[in-house]
Amino acid sequence: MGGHTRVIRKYGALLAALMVAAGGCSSKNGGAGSGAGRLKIVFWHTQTDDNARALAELVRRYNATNRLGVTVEALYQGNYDDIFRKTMAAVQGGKLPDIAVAYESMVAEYMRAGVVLPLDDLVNGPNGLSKQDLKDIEPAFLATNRFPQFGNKLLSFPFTKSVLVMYSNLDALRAAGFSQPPKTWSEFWRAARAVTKRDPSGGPGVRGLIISANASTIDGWFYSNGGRLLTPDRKRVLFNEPPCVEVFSGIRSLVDAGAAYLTQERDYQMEFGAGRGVLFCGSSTQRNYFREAVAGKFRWAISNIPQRDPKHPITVLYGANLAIFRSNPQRQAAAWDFVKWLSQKEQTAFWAIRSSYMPIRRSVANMPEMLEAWKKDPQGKQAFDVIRYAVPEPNVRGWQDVRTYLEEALQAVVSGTDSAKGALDKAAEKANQALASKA
Amino acid sequence: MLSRSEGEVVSIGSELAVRRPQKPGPKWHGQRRVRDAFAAAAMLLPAAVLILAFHFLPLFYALYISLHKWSLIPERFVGAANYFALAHDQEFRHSLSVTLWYVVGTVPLAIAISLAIALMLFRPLWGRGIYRTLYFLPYVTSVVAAAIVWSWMYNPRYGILNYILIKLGVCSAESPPQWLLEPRGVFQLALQNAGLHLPTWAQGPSLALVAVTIMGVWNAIGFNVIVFLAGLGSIPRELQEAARIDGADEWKVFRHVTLPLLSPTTFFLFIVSTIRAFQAFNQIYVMTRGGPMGTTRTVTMYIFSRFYESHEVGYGAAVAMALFLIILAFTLLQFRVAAGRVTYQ
Amino acid sequence: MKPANKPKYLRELVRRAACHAVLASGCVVMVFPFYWMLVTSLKGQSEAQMLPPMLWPVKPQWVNFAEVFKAVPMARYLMNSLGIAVVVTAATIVTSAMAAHAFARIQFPGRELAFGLFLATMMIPFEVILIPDFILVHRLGWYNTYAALIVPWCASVFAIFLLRQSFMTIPTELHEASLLDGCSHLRYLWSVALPLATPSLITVGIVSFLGSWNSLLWPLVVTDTPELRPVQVGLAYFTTEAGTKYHLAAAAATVSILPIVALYLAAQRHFVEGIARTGLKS
Repeated sequence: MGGHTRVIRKYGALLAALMVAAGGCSSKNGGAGSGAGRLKIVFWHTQTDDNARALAELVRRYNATNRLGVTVEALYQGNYDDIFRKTMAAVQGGKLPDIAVAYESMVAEYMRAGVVLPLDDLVNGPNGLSKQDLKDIEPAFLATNRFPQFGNKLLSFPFTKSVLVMYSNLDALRAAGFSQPPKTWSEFWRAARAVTKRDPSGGPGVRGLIISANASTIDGWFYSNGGRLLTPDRKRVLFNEPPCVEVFSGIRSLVDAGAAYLTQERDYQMEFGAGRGVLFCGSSTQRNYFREAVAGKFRWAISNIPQRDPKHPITVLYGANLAIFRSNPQRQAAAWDFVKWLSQKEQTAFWAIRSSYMPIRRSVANMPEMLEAWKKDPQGKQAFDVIRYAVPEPNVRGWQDVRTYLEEALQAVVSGTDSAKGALDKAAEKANQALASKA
Repeated sequence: MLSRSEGEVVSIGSELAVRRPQKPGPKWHGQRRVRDAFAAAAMLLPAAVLILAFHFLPLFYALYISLHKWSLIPERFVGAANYFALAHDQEFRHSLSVTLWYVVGTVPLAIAISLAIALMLFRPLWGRGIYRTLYFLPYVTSVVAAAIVWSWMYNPRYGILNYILIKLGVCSAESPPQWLLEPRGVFQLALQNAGLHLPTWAQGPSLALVAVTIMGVWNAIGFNVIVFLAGLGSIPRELQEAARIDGADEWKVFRHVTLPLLSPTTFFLFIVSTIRAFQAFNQIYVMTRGGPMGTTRTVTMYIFSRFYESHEVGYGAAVAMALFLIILAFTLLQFRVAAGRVTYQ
Repeated sequence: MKPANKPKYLRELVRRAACHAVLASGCVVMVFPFYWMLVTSLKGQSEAQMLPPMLWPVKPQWVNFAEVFKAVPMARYLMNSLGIAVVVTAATIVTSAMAAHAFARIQFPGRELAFGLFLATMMIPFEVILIPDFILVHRLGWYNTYAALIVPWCASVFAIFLLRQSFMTIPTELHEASLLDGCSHLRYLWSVALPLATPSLITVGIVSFLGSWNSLLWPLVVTDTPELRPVQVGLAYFTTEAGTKYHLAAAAATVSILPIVALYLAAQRHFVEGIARTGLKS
């Protein structure tokens, strides 16, 4: 016979062995702590690395201490895109988990599909949150999980939240005559220009503002300059009004003056750390990466984004929440019990200390372990102080599209392809169509 | 049976000339046809079941979805409304032009370069095995990992590409090419310094799209080369030798012997490469996510954004069906063009 | 050497030098992204994105690889990927070779149409078939099992197409003769067609293996638990919401590629032999 038979014989045995091994290893979710009679709750999350370890510790504690006999199984399901894909697939033909992390836009879709459980009854029920709890949790975090288009119901619960802040290189600002980070927009424009330095030898130099085209940052900027995003009836957008156009024109003139630039993805962390960019507006969650990039080379701080009216500061939130899916009352109650437990002071503090997310409760600020952690992470405290000024972004269905249009408008303005008014007008037109199609 | 010892492929013909038995009668042929039909069915069955279930039926399901207004769940039946909207959708048309630039940019170039490389790797050459492995490497990595590395290389600030260009003095350190961040068209960029301004439709693909295309070509070369090597391997050396002995130079040998005999492989690569180029997704998603300003938003990226950003699954399915039909049309066109030009033995 | 051969020898030398020059410079372009990935995997965290970019790490951090294995169950992921890829490849070769032969050498009614339909399935974007496939897998009760990871990919239209092209270049006389001798189609396939199409077969094997090895989205969607997951999922671990640990991501990517490169080097020998087998002087 041919030589190929020998080859097949040689590898065939190996193949057979592998198949037997594969067949033998079935997919049992053996899982820790699943004794007889315990209710298993499935929790889909997106955490990796250090955060995943912290979350695993929290889950372990809950499983060991809860009085309902519930075992939570926390499973990594990819990033937010992946988890949304999985949930979509599960909605249409599979088994939904009990809890999953979700952005507000996703939750709105889940509600439309009727698969998510409104939480008001549970919050106000026998195992609910006390008045004290509700006062302790930052109102903005809860507000962002209320959906006006669904009767203002609470459809999800805050989990991995953070806030839009401004990162500033204090030493560079001081050298240019600014003793603290700019508080108002006019100070901001001046500061960015003042710190900009060209490099005579043709190098990259120093520029005032590092831009990242992120819709939440844009939303925050519009709000803080006194602009509006949406009409009260949520049918039309308002971001092509003068206060918002002013922000974009300001950015454009900074770019023209060589005082602002766009970076690729997370490069702004490196740029800031290398001192090539002095100001940056983004999520508080990234401060650890910023800290590593700065590596103690200069003093830096987190503060609120520039404001039109410093007496009424405003900013927006970032981050995802927890959604509980409908199943049966027993599972729903168990899922809620876990969510509620996560929101208790000890857990909130633990989660905030181990991850770089914000604690959702105010009283955490007085806990010794939190203060201790903030000694090593003063910027974390600075970000925490900004939360009280945060308001939710729109979470109406269709807003996800609008975010893309806003980001593209900023890119158009920065690249000089369009004027601020022109770009925002075009974005507004597309946005109104998107909102109309989802009404 | 035939004794199939190595290397006697061509001489079999002469053997048959001696061995051929009586020609069988019509009854034998009739029986054979029936046996053939059964044999064909049996041999096709495993593949057919799998492909039908997992690749073909979903097409019908997608068609079904596309006839509805469907977000996460079906909302209502709308018939062909999605398709009507598609015909007027400017973003779709734009994504189609982006896709066409990408396909035209990657397919012919990748095939031509790969053919040249495969030919060079096929002749006895020292280090051939090493070269083969190295040229194959791009294909080995997942597209995602390769795309991540390429986006690092394209980084305007930290990337090795700009570092080299700046060191060579080709561009300034203050405003180096923004590669994946540059939404302006390459023709416009080229004429920028001359102070000319082109109308929007003539500005050409954005620099970001060109950057993504280059990565696409790079990625395809590894795969194309090994397919070409396999194809070259099945060309009997004797024919090429005979042509050389007859006095033909290398170019003539290539053009009149190698290329025609390679045509089944070349045809295969054109078809498959085109289909893959139309469907390219992962590398674009990782490198630009469809930006900047939608200048790398191909149809597949558009479908993705309809599914997972706008949550319009019904409309997205309609776009997917449109893409499928476009690819089908292209493929049929290629089959037609190839009809006279592909020679099998 | 005879004087008459001298100019020819010189020409050959020049051609070979030219070949090397072109291939080597092409190689640099082909290989550079890998080099970059390898180098990054040996850098420290801050080094990994410095300006100017370092072409070589200050001090190779081999510990990165250890960290990768510690952070995620890489070994398990690799075993999963390997097992799945091997089974998928073997099954694909079997199903596709049979189907390719049917399309290449058996006349049956509707052959062209059937081939066209098969080909059409290659043209469907993956996002579209993701959800229906998921629903089917769920209905079959295969969610979170190896079956879901393996079965849908055990036939490949690409493989059928490539093998068909290859089979069609085999002289029809061989097939006719074998039928007259009383051979069944399978026997012909096994004894004649497959050995002659070895290079294409190896190509199909490599492509199937790689396709399985590199798939990320499908395994993520049909599995819940880490025990089943392949190596690509492990790669995603080092990119967090806040930033990416590039040195670890590169190390993980390198680990995921090494088995493939090793496999290719092994298969390459057969490749060369396969090519040499045909076209020998008689």
